[in-house]
Amino acid sequence: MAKQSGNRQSGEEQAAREKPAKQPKSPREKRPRDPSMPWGPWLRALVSAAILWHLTAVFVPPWFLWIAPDHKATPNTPPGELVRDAQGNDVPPERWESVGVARQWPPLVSWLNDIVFHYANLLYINNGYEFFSPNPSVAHVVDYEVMDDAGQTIAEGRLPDLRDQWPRLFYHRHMMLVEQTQTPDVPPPLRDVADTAGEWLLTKYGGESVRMTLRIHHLLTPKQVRDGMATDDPSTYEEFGSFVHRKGDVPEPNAAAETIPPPNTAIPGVSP
Amino acid sequence: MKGLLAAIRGYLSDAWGAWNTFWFSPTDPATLSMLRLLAGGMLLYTHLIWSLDLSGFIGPDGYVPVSVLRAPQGPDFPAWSAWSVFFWIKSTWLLWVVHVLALVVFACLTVGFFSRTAALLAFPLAVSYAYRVTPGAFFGLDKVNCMLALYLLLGPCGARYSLDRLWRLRRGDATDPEPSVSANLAVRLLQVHLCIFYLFSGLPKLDGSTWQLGTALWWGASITEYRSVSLLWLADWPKFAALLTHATVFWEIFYCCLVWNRFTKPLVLGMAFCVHGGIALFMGMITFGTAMIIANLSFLKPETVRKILDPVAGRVSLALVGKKVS
Repeated sequence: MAKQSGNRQSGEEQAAREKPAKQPKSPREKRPRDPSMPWGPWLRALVSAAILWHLTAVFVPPWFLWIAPDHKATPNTPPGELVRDAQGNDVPPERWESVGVARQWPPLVSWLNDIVFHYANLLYINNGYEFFSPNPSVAHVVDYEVMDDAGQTIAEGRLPDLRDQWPRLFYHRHMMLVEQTQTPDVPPPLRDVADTAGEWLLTKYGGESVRMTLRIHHLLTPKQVRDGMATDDPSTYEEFGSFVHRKGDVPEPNAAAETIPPPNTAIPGVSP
Repeated sequence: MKGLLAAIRGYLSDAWGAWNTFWFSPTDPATLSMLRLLAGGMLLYTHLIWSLDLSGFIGPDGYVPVSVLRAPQGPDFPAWSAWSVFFWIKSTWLLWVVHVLALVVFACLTVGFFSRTAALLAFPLAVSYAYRVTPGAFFGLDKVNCMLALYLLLGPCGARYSLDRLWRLRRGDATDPEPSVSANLAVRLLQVHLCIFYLFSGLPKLDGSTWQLGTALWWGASITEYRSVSLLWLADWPKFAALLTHATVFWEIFYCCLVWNRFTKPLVLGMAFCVHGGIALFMGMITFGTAMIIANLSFLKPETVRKILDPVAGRVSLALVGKKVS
Protein backbone atom coordinates (compact mmCIF):
# COMPACT_ATOMS: atom_id res chain seq x y z
CA MET A 1 0.00 0.00 0.00
CA ALA A 2 2.83 2.35 1.03
CA LYS A 3 4.76 1.34 -2.09
CA GLN A 4 1.84 2.05 -4.36
CA SER A 5 1.48 5.45 -2.74
CA GLY A 6 5.17 6.15 -3.23
CA ASN A 7 4.96 5.23 -6.91
CA ARG A 8 1.97 7.47 -7.44
CA GLN A 9 3.78 10.35 -5.75
CA SER A 10 6.87 10.02 -7.94
CA GLY A 11 4.69 9.81 -11.04
CA GLU A 12 2.90 13.02 -10.07
CA GLU A 13 6.20 14.78 -9.47
CA GLN A 14 7.37 13.74 -12.94
CA ALA A 15 4.14 14.97 -14.51
CA ALA A 16 4.52 18.26 -12.68
CA ARG A 17 8.06 18.63 -13.99
CA GLU A 18 6.91 17.97 -17.54
CA LYS A 19 4.09 20.50 -17.29
CA PRO A 20 4.84 23.97 -18.64
CA ALA A 21 5.17 26.68 -16.02
CA LYS A 22 1.79 27.84 -14.75
CA GLN A 23 0.67 31.18 -16.13
CA PRO A 24 -0.36 33.71 -13.49
CA LYS A 25 -4.15 33.84 -13.20
CA SER A 26 -5.76 36.78 -14.94
CA PRO A 27 -8.29 38.66 -12.80
CA ARG A 28 -11.59 36.81 -12.99
CA GLU A 29 -13.72 38.29 -15.69
CA LYS A 30 -17.27 39.09 -14.63
CA ARG A 31 -19.96 37.93 -16.97
CA PRO A 32 -21.79 41.07 -18.15
CA ARG A 33 -25.16 41.33 -16.44
CA ASP A 34 -28.20 40.89 -18.63
CA PRO A 35 -29.78 44.38 -18.76
CA SER A 36 -33.21 42.81 -18.97
CA MET A 37 -32.59 41.01 -15.66
CA PRO A 38 -30.81 43.41 -13.29
CA TRP A 39 -31.21 41.24 -10.19
CA GLY A 40 -28.66 38.44 -9.79
CA PRO A 41 -29.71 34.76 -9.73
CA TRP A 42 -29.31 34.37 -5.95
CA LEU A 43 -31.45 37.38 -5.20
CA ARG A 44 -34.06 36.18 -7.68
CA ALA A 45 -34.09 32.72 -6.10
CA LEU A 46 -34.52 34.24 -2.64
CA VAL A 47 -37.31 36.56 -3.72
CA SER A 48 -38.94 33.68 -5.63
CA ALA A 49 -39.13 31.70 -2.39
CA ALA A 50 -40.70 34.73 -0.68
CA ILE A 51 -43.22 35.10 -3.54
CA LEU A 52 -44.24 31.43 -3.25
CA TRP A 53 -44.66 31.76 0.51
CA HIS A 54 -46.71 34.95 0.18
CA LEU A 55 -48.96 33.57 -2.55
CA THR A 56 -49.57 30.45 -0.44
CA ALA A 57 -50.65 32.76 2.39
CA VAL A 58 -52.96 34.63 0.00
CA PHE A 59 -54.47 31.41 -1.36
CA VAL A 60 -55.01 29.32 1.77
CA PRO A 61 -57.27 31.48 4.03
CA PRO A 62 -60.09 31.97 1.49
CA TRP A 63 -59.83 28.27 0.59
CA PHE A 64 -60.08 27.32 4.27
CA LEU A 65 -62.94 29.75 4.95
CA TRP A 66 -64.82 28.39 1.95
CA ILE A 67 -64.67 24.75 2.94
CA ALA A 68 -64.48 24.80 6.73
CA PRO A 69 -66.73 27.46 8.29
CA ASP A 70 -68.86 26.58 11.32
CA HIS A 71 -72.10 26.31 9.37
CA LYS A 72 -70.52 23.75 7.02
CA ALA A 73 -69.11 21.58 9.81
CA THR A 74 -68.84 17.91 8.81
CA PRO A 75 -69.27 15.19 11.46
CA ASN A 76 -66.66 12.44 11.71
CA THR A 77 -69.10 9.80 10.50
CA PRO A 78 -69.44 7.84 7.25
CA PRO A 79 -70.71 9.96 4.32
CA GLY A 80 -74.41 10.69 4.49
CA GLU A 81 -74.83 9.50 8.08
CA LEU A 82 -76.57 12.06 10.26
CA VAL A 83 -75.69 12.76 13.88
CA ARG A 84 -78.63 11.81 16.10
CA ASP A 85 -79.14 11.48 19.82
CA ALA A 86 -80.64 8.47 21.61
CA GLN A 87 -84.13 9.72 20.82
CA GLY A 88 -83.33 9.91 17.11
CA ASN A 89 -83.29 13.72 16.96
CA ASP A 90 -80.77 15.60 14.80
CA VAL A 91 -77.87 16.97 16.85
CA PRO A 92 -76.52 20.39 15.81
CA PRO A 93 -72.71 20.77 15.36
CA GLU A 94 -72.19 22.56 18.69
CA ARG A 95 -73.59 19.45 20.50
CA TRP A 96 -71.83 16.75 18.46
CA GLU A 97 -69.22 16.19 21.14
CA SER A 98 -71.95 15.46 23.69
CA VAL A 99 -72.94 12.38 21.66
CA GLY A 100 -69.34 11.36 21.01
CA VAL A 101 -68.99 12.66 17.45
CA ALA A 102 -66.05 14.90 16.55
CA ARG A 103 -65.96 17.52 13.84
CA GLN A 104 -63.86 16.78 10.75
CA TRP A 105 -61.32 19.28 9.49
CA PRO A 106 -59.87 19.19 5.97
CA PRO A 107 -56.41 17.77 6.76
CA LEU A 108 -54.28 19.55 4.16
CA VAL A 109 -56.00 22.94 4.18
CA SER A 110 -56.16 23.04 8.00
CA TRP A 111 -52.45 22.26 8.18
CA LEU A 112 -51.60 24.93 5.62
CA ASN A 113 -53.88 27.39 7.37
CA ASP A 114 -52.08 26.79 10.65
CA ILE A 115 -48.74 27.47 8.94
CA VAL A 116 -49.70 30.76 7.31
CA PHE A 117 -52.06 31.84 10.11
CA HIS A 118 -50.06 34.63 11.76
CA TYR A 119 -48.47 35.87 8.54
CA ALA A 120 -51.91 36.15 6.93
CA ASN A 121 -53.24 37.88 10.05
CA LEU A 122 -50.45 40.45 10.05
CA LEU A 123 -51.06 41.44 6.44
CA TYR A 124 -54.87 41.25 6.68
CA ILE A 125 -54.92 38.70 3.88
CA ASN A 126 -56.77 36.27 6.17
CA ASN A 127 -60.07 36.90 4.42
CA GLY A 128 -62.63 35.04 2.42
CA TYR A 129 -64.08 36.74 -0.64
CA GLU A 130 -67.54 35.21 -0.51
CA PHE A 131 -69.67 38.10 -1.62
CA PHE A 132 -73.36 37.18 -1.78
CA SER A 133 -72.51 33.52 -1.33
CA PRO A 134 -73.61 30.89 -1.02
CA ASN A 135 -76.83 32.88 -1.62
CA PRO A 136 -77.96 36.51 -1.33
CA SER A 137 -79.96 36.74 1.86
CA VAL A 138 -82.54 38.89 3.60
CA ALA A 139 -81.52 42.19 5.14
CA HIS A 140 -81.94 43.23 8.76
CA VAL A 141 -82.79 46.59 10.26
CA VAL A 142 -82.80 47.76 13.87
CA ASP A 143 -85.30 50.37 15.05
CA TYR A 144 -84.26 52.13 18.25
CA GLU A 145 -85.98 54.45 20.67
CA VAL A 146 -83.87 56.23 23.30
CA MET A 147 -85.66 57.27 26.51
CA ASP A 148 -84.73 59.51 29.43
CA ASP A 149 -85.15 58.59 33.13
CA ALA A 150 -88.84 59.61 32.98
CA GLY A 151 -89.43 57.18 30.12
CA GLN A 152 -89.92 59.97 27.57
CA THR A 153 -88.57 59.36 24.07
CA ILE A 154 -85.66 61.69 23.34
CA ALA A 155 -84.40 60.12 20.10
CA GLU A 156 -85.43 57.44 17.68
CA GLY A 157 -84.09 56.10 14.46
CA ARG A 158 -83.18 53.12 12.33
CA LEU A 159 -79.95 51.35 11.53
CA PRO A 160 -79.33 51.60 8.63
CA ASP A 161 -81.31 54.57 7.32
CA LEU A 162 -80.47 56.44 4.12
CA ARG A 163 -82.20 59.59 5.39
CA ASP A 164 -79.90 59.87 8.42
CA GLN A 165 -76.68 58.33 7.23
CA TRP A 166 -75.01 60.07 4.34
CA PRO A 167 -72.87 59.71 2.25
CA ARG A 168 -73.53 56.24 1.00
CA LEU A 169 -70.38 54.70 2.51
CA PHE A 170 -71.42 55.94 5.96
CA TYR A 171 -74.85 54.34 5.46
CA HIS A 172 -73.17 51.13 4.32
CA ARG A 173 -71.07 50.99 7.49
CA HIS A 174 -74.27 51.08 9.57
CA MET A 175 -75.77 48.41 7.37
CA MET A 176 -72.75 46.16 7.92
CA LEU A 177 -72.92 46.83 11.67
CA VAL A 178 -76.40 45.31 11.76
CA GLU A 179 -75.68 42.48 9.32
CA GLN A 180 -72.43 41.29 10.91
CA THR A 181 -74.07 40.69 14.26
CA GLN A 182 -76.78 38.52 12.70
CA THR A 183 -74.82 35.81 10.92
CA PRO A 184 -74.42 32.31 12.38
CA ASP A 185 -70.63 32.60 12.00
CA VAL A 186 -70.44 35.34 14.62
CA PRO A 187 -69.42 33.95 18.01
CA PRO A 188 -71.67 34.60 21.05
CA PRO A 189 -70.04 37.69 22.60
CA LEU A 190 -70.55 39.54 19.36
CA ARG A 191 -74.06 38.25 19.03
CA ASP A 192 -74.71 40.15 22.26
CA VAL A 193 -73.53 43.31 20.58
CA ALA A 194 -77.03 44.76 20.80
CA ASP A 195 -76.23 45.57 24.44
CA THR A 196 -73.01 47.38 23.62
CA ALA A 197 -74.58 49.17 20.64
CA GLY A 198 -77.44 50.17 22.93
CA GLU A 199 -74.95 51.52 25.45
CA TRP A 200 -73.30 53.56 22.72
CA LEU A 201 -76.66 55.01 21.64
CA LEU A 202 -77.33 56.01 25.27
CA THR A 203 -73.94 57.72 25.45
CA LYS A 204 -74.60 59.46 22.14
CA TYR A 205 -78.07 60.78 23.01
CA GLY A 206 -77.70 61.05 26.82
CA GLY A 207 -80.55 58.62 27.55
CA GLU A 208 -81.23 56.18 30.36
CA SER A 209 -82.70 53.27 28.38
CA VAL A 210 -83.11 52.25 24.78
CA ARG A 211 -85.63 49.93 23.16
CA MET A 212 -84.19 48.11 20.16
CA THR A 213 -86.29 46.12 17.72
CA LEU A 214 -84.67 43.84 15.18
CA ARG A 215 -86.66 43.35 11.99
CA ILE A 216 -86.01 41.03 9.09
CA HIS A 217 -86.68 42.59 5.73
CA HIS A 218 -87.88 39.78 3.48
CA LEU A 219 -87.26 39.72 -0.26
CA LEU A 220 -89.94 39.55 -2.92
CA THR A 221 -90.19 37.04 -5.73
CA PRO A 222 -90.36 38.34 -9.31
CA LYS A 223 -94.04 37.37 -9.38
CA GLN A 224 -94.82 39.47 -6.29
CA VAL A 225 -93.11 42.46 -7.90
CA ARG A 226 -94.95 41.89 -11.20
CA ASP A 227 -98.18 41.81 -9.19
CA GLY A 228 -97.40 45.31 -7.96
CA MET A 229 -96.12 44.70 -4.44
CA ALA A 230 -93.54 47.24 -3.20
CA THR A 231 -90.25 45.93 -1.84
CA ASP A 232 -90.61 48.16 1.24
CA ASP A 233 -94.22 47.16 1.87
CA PRO A 234 -94.81 46.97 5.67
CA SER A 235 -95.71 43.29 5.30
CA THR A 236 -92.15 42.56 4.11
CA TYR A 237 -90.78 43.46 7.57
CA GLU A 238 -91.00 40.76 10.21
CA GLU A 239 -90.32 41.66 13.83
CA PHE A 240 -87.65 39.27 15.06
CA GLY A 241 -87.31 40.49 18.61
CA SER A 242 -87.32 43.52 20.84
CA PHE A 243 -85.50 44.31 24.07
CA VAL A 244 -84.75 47.19 26.38
CA HIS A 245 -81.19 48.01 27.34
CA ARG A 246 -80.59 50.14 30.45
CA LYS A 247 -77.55 52.31 31.03
CA GLY A 248 -74.56 50.41 32.40
CA ASP A 249 -76.09 47.00 31.69
CA VAL A 250 -73.17 45.78 29.57
CA PRO A 251 -72.22 42.08 29.29
CA GLU A 252 -68.94 40.98 30.83
CA PRO A 253 -66.40 40.61 28.01
CA ASN A 254 -64.58 37.88 29.91
CA ALA A 255 -67.71 35.74 29.82
CA ALA A 256 -66.60 34.91 26.29
CA ALA A 257 -63.63 32.84 27.43
CA GLU A 258 -65.57 29.62 26.81
CA THR A 259 -66.11 30.57 23.19
CA ILE A 260 -62.49 30.49 22.06
CA PRO A 261 -62.51 28.64 18.77
CA PRO A 262 -60.24 25.61 18.30
CA PRO A 263 -56.70 26.42 17.18
CA ASN A 264 -57.21 25.48 13.56
CA THR A 265 -60.47 27.30 13.11
CA ALA A 266 -60.98 30.34 10.90
CA ILE A 267 -59.00 33.40 11.83
CA PRO A 268 -60.45 34.81 15.06
CA GLY A 269 -62.25 38.05 14.61
CA VAL A 270 -62.56 37.64 10.87
CA SER A 271 -65.59 36.35 9.07
CA PRO A 272 -65.66 35.57 5.34
CA MET B 1 -33.00 8.38 -21.59
CA LYS B 2 -30.53 11.16 -22.42
CA GLY B 3 -33.14 12.72 -24.69
CA LEU B 4 -35.72 12.62 -21.91
CA LEU B 5 -33.32 14.22 -19.42
CA ALA B 6 -32.44 16.92 -21.96
CA ALA B 7 -36.12 17.59 -22.55
CA ILE B 8 -36.78 17.88 -18.79
CA ARG B 9 -33.75 20.13 -18.38
CA GLY B 10 -34.94 22.25 -21.31
CA TYR B 11 -38.42 22.49 -19.84
CA LEU B 12 -37.13 23.52 -16.40
CA SER B 13 -34.79 26.05 -17.96
CA ASP B 14 -37.63 27.53 -20.03
CA ALA B 15 -39.93 27.58 -16.99
CA TRP B 16 -37.28 29.35 -14.87
CA GLY B 17 -36.75 31.83 -17.71
CA ALA B 18 -40.48 32.51 -17.99
CA TRP B 19 -40.76 32.85 -14.19
CA ASN B 20 -37.90 35.36 -14.20
CA THR B 21 -39.38 37.34 -17.06
CA PHE B 22 -42.77 37.44 -15.33
CA TRP B 23 -41.54 38.57 -11.91
CA PHE B 24 -38.13 40.19 -12.39
CA SER B 25 -38.21 42.16 -15.65
CA PRO B 26 -37.77 45.86 -15.00
CA THR B 27 -40.83 47.86 -15.97
CA ASP B 28 -41.77 51.50 -16.21
CA PRO B 29 -43.32 52.49 -12.86
CA ALA B 30 -46.23 54.24 -14.62
CA THR B 31 -48.82 51.56 -13.72
CA LEU B 32 -47.75 51.43 -10.08
CA SER B 33 -47.74 55.23 -9.88
CA MET B 34 -51.25 55.40 -11.33
CA LEU B 35 -52.40 52.80 -8.79
CA ARG B 36 -50.89 54.93 -6.01
CA LEU B 37 -52.78 57.98 -7.18
CA LEU B 38 -56.14 56.18 -7.36
CA ALA B 39 -55.79 53.83 -4.40
CA GLY B 40 -54.44 56.66 -2.24
CA GLY B 41 -57.55 58.69 -3.09
CA MET B 42 -59.75 55.74 -2.20
CA LEU B 43 -57.94 55.22 1.12
CA LEU B 44 -58.28 58.91 1.92
CA TYR B 45 -62.01 58.99 1.18
CA THR B 46 -62.75 55.71 2.96
CA HIS B 47 -61.07 56.85 6.15
CA LEU B 48 -62.37 60.40 5.95
CA ILE B 49 -65.87 58.96 6.28
CA TRP B 50 -65.00 57.45 9.68
CA SER B 51 -64.73 61.07 10.90
CA LEU B 52 -68.54 61.30 10.80
CA ASP B 53 -68.77 58.94 13.80
CA LEU B 54 -65.20 58.19 14.79
CA SER B 55 -65.95 57.36 18.44
CA GLY B 56 -68.93 55.20 17.47
CA PHE B 57 -67.05 52.96 15.06
CA ILE B 58 -63.36 53.26 15.95
CA GLY B 59 -63.39 54.49 19.56
CA PRO B 60 -62.73 52.06 22.43
CA ASP B 61 -66.36 52.03 23.64
CA GLY B 62 -68.30 52.46 20.40
CA TYR B 63 -70.98 50.24 18.89
CA VAL B 64 -68.65 47.23 19.20
CA PRO B 65 -66.24 47.96 22.08
CA VAL B 66 -62.64 46.80 21.72
CA SER B 67 -63.03 44.48 24.73
CA VAL B 68 -66.00 42.69 23.14
CA LEU B 69 -64.33 42.58 19.73
CA ARG B 70 -61.21 40.92 21.09
CA ALA B 71 -62.94 38.53 23.46
CA PRO B 72 -63.35 35.69 20.90
CA GLN B 73 -59.61 35.76 20.25
CA GLY B 74 -59.02 34.50 23.79
CA PRO B 75 -56.24 35.34 26.25
CA ASP B 76 -53.62 33.17 24.52
CA PHE B 77 -54.00 34.85 21.15
CA PRO B 78 -50.81 36.87 20.44
CA ALA B 79 -51.61 40.58 20.30
CA TRP B 80 -49.18 41.18 17.44
CA SER B 81 -50.92 38.74 15.11
CA ALA B 82 -54.10 40.71 14.40
CA TRP B 83 -52.92 44.14 15.28
CA SER B 84 -54.59 47.53 15.41
CA VAL B 85 -53.29 50.74 16.93
CA PHE B 86 -56.87 51.41 18.02
CA PHE B 87 -56.84 48.43 20.38
CA TRP B 88 -54.62 50.47 22.69
CA ILE B 89 -56.09 53.96 22.35
CA LYS B 90 -58.33 54.85 25.28
CA SER B 91 -58.87 58.60 25.04
CA THR B 92 -60.91 60.51 22.48
CA TRP B 93 -58.29 63.20 21.87
CA LEU B 94 -55.62 60.62 21.07
CA LEU B 95 -58.05 58.83 18.81
CA TRP B 96 -58.54 62.04 16.84
CA VAL B 97 -54.81 62.79 16.72
CA VAL B 98 -54.08 59.35 15.24
CA HIS B 99 -57.02 59.70 12.86
CA VAL B 100 -55.88 63.10 11.56
CA LEU B 101 -52.31 61.81 11.15
CA ALA B 102 -53.67 58.83 9.23
CA LEU B 103 -55.62 61.14 6.93
CA VAL B 104 -52.46 63.18 6.34
CA VAL B 105 -50.59 59.98 5.42
CA PHE B 106 -53.33 58.92 2.99
CA ALA B 107 -53.36 62.43 1.48
CA CYS B 108 -49.54 62.31 1.04
CA LEU B 109 -49.88 58.93 -0.64
CA THR B 110 -52.52 60.28 -3.02
CA VAL B 111 -50.52 63.29 -4.17
CA GLY B 112 -47.22 61.43 -4.01
CA PHE B 113 -45.50 63.52 -1.35
CA PHE B 114 -42.77 61.43 0.34
CA SER B 115 -44.46 58.58 -1.49
CA ARG B 116 -42.37 55.64 -0.24
CA THR B 117 -42.66 56.72 3.39
CA ALA B 118 -46.37 57.42 2.99
CA ALA B 119 -46.89 53.97 1.43
CA LEU B 120 -44.94 52.36 4.24
CA LEU B 121 -47.18 54.05 6.84
CA ALA B 122 -50.45 53.78 4.92
CA PHE B 123 -50.55 49.99 4.97
CA PRO B 124 -50.36 49.42 8.76
CA LEU B 125 -52.80 52.29 9.26
CA ALA B 126 -55.32 50.82 6.81
CA VAL B 127 -54.97 47.42 8.50
CA SER B 128 -55.46 49.06 11.91
CA TYR B 129 -58.80 50.54 10.86
CA ALA B 130 -59.84 47.30 9.22
CA TYR B 131 -59.13 45.19 12.31
CA ARG B 132 -60.93 47.68 14.53
CA VAL B 133 -64.15 47.04 12.60
CA THR B 134 -63.69 43.30 11.87
CA PRO B 135 -66.29 42.17 12.60
CA GLY B 136 -68.48 45.15 13.13
CA ALA B 137 -68.66 47.30 10.05
CA PHE B 138 -66.05 45.99 7.64
CA PHE B 139 -66.83 44.81 4.14
CA GLY B 140 -65.12 44.08 0.83
CA LEU B 141 -63.88 47.66 0.49
CA ASP B 142 -61.53 47.23 3.47
CA LYS B 143 -60.11 44.04 1.99
CA VAL B 144 -59.41 45.73 -1.35
CA ASN B 145 -57.98 48.88 0.27
CA CYS B 146 -55.55 46.83 2.37
CA MET B 147 -54.60 44.71 -0.64
CA LEU B 148 -53.79 47.80 -2.72
CA ALA B 149 -51.88 49.46 0.15
CA LEU B 150 -49.84 46.30 0.70
CA TYR B 151 -48.44 46.17 -2.82
CA LEU B 152 -47.92 49.92 -3.18
CA LEU B 153 -45.27 49.81 -0.48
CA LEU B 154 -43.17 47.31 -2.43
CA GLY B 155 -42.23 49.53 -5.36
CA PRO B 156 -41.39 53.11 -6.42
CA CYS B 157 -45.03 54.22 -6.36
CA GLY B 158 -44.13 57.92 -6.45
CA ALA B 159 -41.87 57.74 -9.49
CA ARG B 160 -44.53 59.33 -11.72
CA TYR B 161 -47.66 61.45 -11.25
CA SER B 162 -46.45 62.70 -7.89
CA LEU B 163 -45.28 65.79 -6.06
CA ASP B 164 -42.01 63.94 -5.50
CA ARG B 165 -41.45 63.92 -9.26
CA LEU B 166 -42.31 67.61 -9.54
CA TRP B 167 -39.93 68.38 -6.68
CA ARG B 168 -37.11 66.60 -8.53
CA LEU B 169 -38.01 68.48 -11.70
CA ARG B 170 -37.93 71.79 -9.87
CA ARG B 171 -34.42 70.97 -8.59
CA GLY B 172 -33.33 70.41 -12.17
CA ASP B 173 -33.55 66.63 -12.31
CA ALA B 174 -35.56 66.07 -15.48
CA THR B 175 -34.47 62.48 -16.04
CA ASP B 176 -37.14 59.93 -16.78
CA PRO B 177 -37.73 57.35 -14.01
CA GLU B 178 -35.71 54.18 -14.56
CA PRO B 179 -37.52 50.92 -15.32
CA SER B 180 -37.78 49.10 -12.02
CA VAL B 181 -37.90 45.43 -10.99
CA SER B 182 -39.71 46.21 -7.74
CA ALA B 183 -42.41 48.12 -9.66
CA ASN B 184 -42.98 45.01 -11.75
CA LEU B 185 -42.95 42.76 -8.68
CA ALA B 186 -45.53 44.91 -6.88
CA VAL B 187 -47.89 45.01 -9.86
CA ARG B 188 -47.49 41.27 -10.55
CA LEU B 189 -48.26 40.37 -6.93
CA LEU B 190 -51.37 42.54 -7.05
CA GLN B 191 -52.47 40.90 -10.31
CA VAL B 192 -52.05 37.36 -8.93
CA HIS B 193 -53.72 38.32 -5.65
CA LEU B 194 -56.65 39.66 -7.66
CA CYS B 195 -56.91 36.35 -9.53
CA ILE B 196 -57.11 34.47 -6.21
CA PHE B 197 -59.64 37.04 -4.98
CA TYR B 198 -61.97 36.33 -7.90
CA LEU B 199 -61.46 32.56 -7.78
CA PHE B 200 -62.60 32.38 -4.17
CA SER B 201 -65.39 34.80 -4.87
CA GLY B 202 -66.68 32.51 -7.63
CA LEU B 203 -66.16 29.03 -6.18
CA PRO B 204 -68.36 29.45 -3.06
CA LYS B 205 -71.17 30.61 -5.34
CA LEU B 206 -71.28 27.09 -6.77
CA ASP B 207 -72.62 25.98 -3.35
CA GLY B 208 -75.61 28.30 -3.59
CA SER B 209 -78.91 27.18 -5.08
CA THR B 210 -79.75 30.66 -6.34
CA TRP B 211 -76.45 30.89 -8.24
CA GLN B 212 -77.06 27.43 -9.70
CA LEU B 213 -80.61 28.35 -10.75
CA GLY B 214 -79.63 31.74 -12.11
CA THR B 215 -81.85 33.74 -9.75
CA ALA B 216 -79.11 35.16 -7.47
CA LEU B 217 -78.88 38.43 -9.38
CA TRP B 218 -82.60 38.98 -8.93
CA TRP B 219 -82.41 38.35 -5.17
CA GLY B 220 -79.40 40.63 -4.85
CA ALA B 221 -81.12 43.36 -6.82
CA SER B 222 -84.30 43.06 -4.76
CA ILE B 223 -82.58 43.83 -1.43
CA THR B 224 -83.98 47.29 -0.70
CA GLU B 225 -81.16 48.19 1.69
CA TYR B 226 -78.57 47.85 -1.07
CA ARG B 227 -80.51 49.38 -3.93
CA SER B 228 -79.55 52.79 -5.32
CA VAL B 229 -80.97 52.45 -8.85
CA SER B 230 -83.84 50.01 -9.29
CA LEU B 231 -83.29 46.76 -11.14
CA LEU B 232 -86.80 45.51 -10.37
CA TRP B 233 -87.58 45.51 -14.12
CA LEU B 234 -85.59 42.26 -14.14
CA ALA B 235 -88.77 40.63 -12.78
CA ASP B 236 -90.03 40.71 -16.38
CA TRP B 237 -86.75 39.37 -17.79
CA PRO B 238 -85.93 36.17 -15.86
CA LYS B 239 -83.78 34.68 -18.63
CA PHE B 240 -81.72 37.85 -18.87
CA ALA B 241 -81.27 37.90 -15.08
CA ALA B 242 -80.18 34.25 -15.24
CA LEU B 243 -77.71 34.99 -18.05
CA LEU B 244 -76.11 37.75 -15.96
CA THR B 245 -75.99 35.48 -12.91
CA HIS B 246 -74.29 32.61 -14.74
CA ALA B 247 -71.94 34.97 -16.59
CA THR B 248 -70.84 36.44 -13.25
CA VAL B 249 -69.95 33.03 -11.82
CA PHE B 250 -68.09 31.91 -14.97
CA TRP B 251 -66.24 35.21 -15.17
CA GLU B 252 -65.15 35.09 -11.52
CA ILE B 253 -63.93 31.50 -11.66
CA PHE B 254 -62.11 31.78 -14.99
CA TYR B 255 -60.73 35.29 -14.49
CA CYS B 256 -57.46 33.77 -13.23
CA CYS B 257 -56.94 31.98 -16.58
CA LEU B 258 -58.41 34.35 -19.13
CA VAL B 259 -56.91 37.62 -17.94
CA TRP B 260 -53.40 36.57 -19.07
CA ASN B 261 -54.33 35.87 -22.68
CA ARG B 262 -54.04 38.89 -24.96
CA PHE B 263 -57.26 38.02 -26.82
CA THR B 264 -59.45 37.37 -23.77
CA LYS B 265 -57.89 40.01 -21.50
CA PRO B 266 -59.92 42.95 -22.92
CA LEU B 267 -63.12 40.94 -22.52
CA VAL B 268 -62.31 39.93 -18.95
CA LEU B 269 -61.37 43.47 -17.96
CA GLY B 270 -64.42 44.85 -19.78
CA MET B 271 -66.59 42.45 -17.80
CA ALA B 272 -64.87 43.59 -14.58
CA PHE B 273 -65.71 47.18 -15.47
CA CYS B 274 -69.36 46.24 -16.12
CA VAL B 275 -69.77 44.08 -12.99
CA HIS B 276 -68.14 46.52 -10.59
CA GLY B 277 -69.65 49.51 -12.32
CA GLY B 278 -73.02 47.78 -11.91
CA ILE B 279 -72.37 47.14 -8.22
CA ALA B 280 -71.44 50.80 -7.80
CA LEU B 281 -74.39 52.13 -9.76
CA PHE B 282 -77.23 49.77 -8.85
CA MET B 283 -76.26 48.41 -5.43
CA GLY B 284 -74.99 51.62 -3.87
CA MET B 285 -71.49 50.29 -3.20
CA ILE B 286 -69.77 53.04 -5.14
CA THR B 287 -66.55 52.84 -3.17
CA PHE B 288 -66.23 49.06 -3.35
CA GLY B 289 -67.03 49.00 -7.06
CA THR B 290 -64.49 51.75 -7.74
CA ALA B 291 -61.80 50.09 -5.61
CA MET B 292 -62.22 46.85 -7.56
CA ILE B 293 -61.96 48.72 -10.87
CA ILE B 294 -58.75 50.35 -9.59
CA ALA B 295 -57.35 46.91 -8.75
CA ASN B 296 -58.22 45.70 -12.26
CA LEU B 297 -56.32 48.65 -13.75
CA SER B 298 -53.15 46.88 -12.59
CA PHE B 299 -53.44 44.90 -15.83
CA LEU B 300 -52.91 48.05 -17.94
CA LYS B 301 -49.51 48.20 -19.59
CA PRO B 302 -47.28 51.12 -18.57
CA GLU B 303 -47.34 52.40 -22.16
CA THR B 304 -51.14 52.56 -22.09
CA VAL B 305 -51.09 54.34 -18.74
CA ARG B 306 -48.55 56.85 -20.01
CA LYS B 307 -50.56 57.50 -23.16
CA ILE B 308 -53.54 58.44 -20.99
CA LEU B 309 -51.92 60.18 -18.01
CA ASP B 310 -48.74 61.79 -19.35
CA PRO B 311 -50.52 64.66 -21.17
CA VAL B 312 -52.39 65.50 -17.94
CA ALA B 313 -49.20 65.18 -15.85
CA GLY B 314 -47.40 67.44 -18.36
CA ARG B 315 -50.01 70.17 -17.98
CA VAL B 316 -49.98 69.91 -14.17
CA SER B 317 -46.19 70.15 -14.01
CA LEU B 318 -46.18 73.10 -16.40
CA ALA B 319 -48.69 74.89 -14.18
CA LEU B 320 -46.94 74.08 -10.90
CA VAL B 321 -43.20 74.23 -11.66
CA GLY B 322 -43.12 75.89 -15.08
CA LYS B 323 -41.51 72.86 -16.74
CA LYS B 324 -43.18 70.07 -18.62
CA VAL B 325 -42.54 66.63 -17.20
CA SER B 326 -41.44 64.16 -19.88
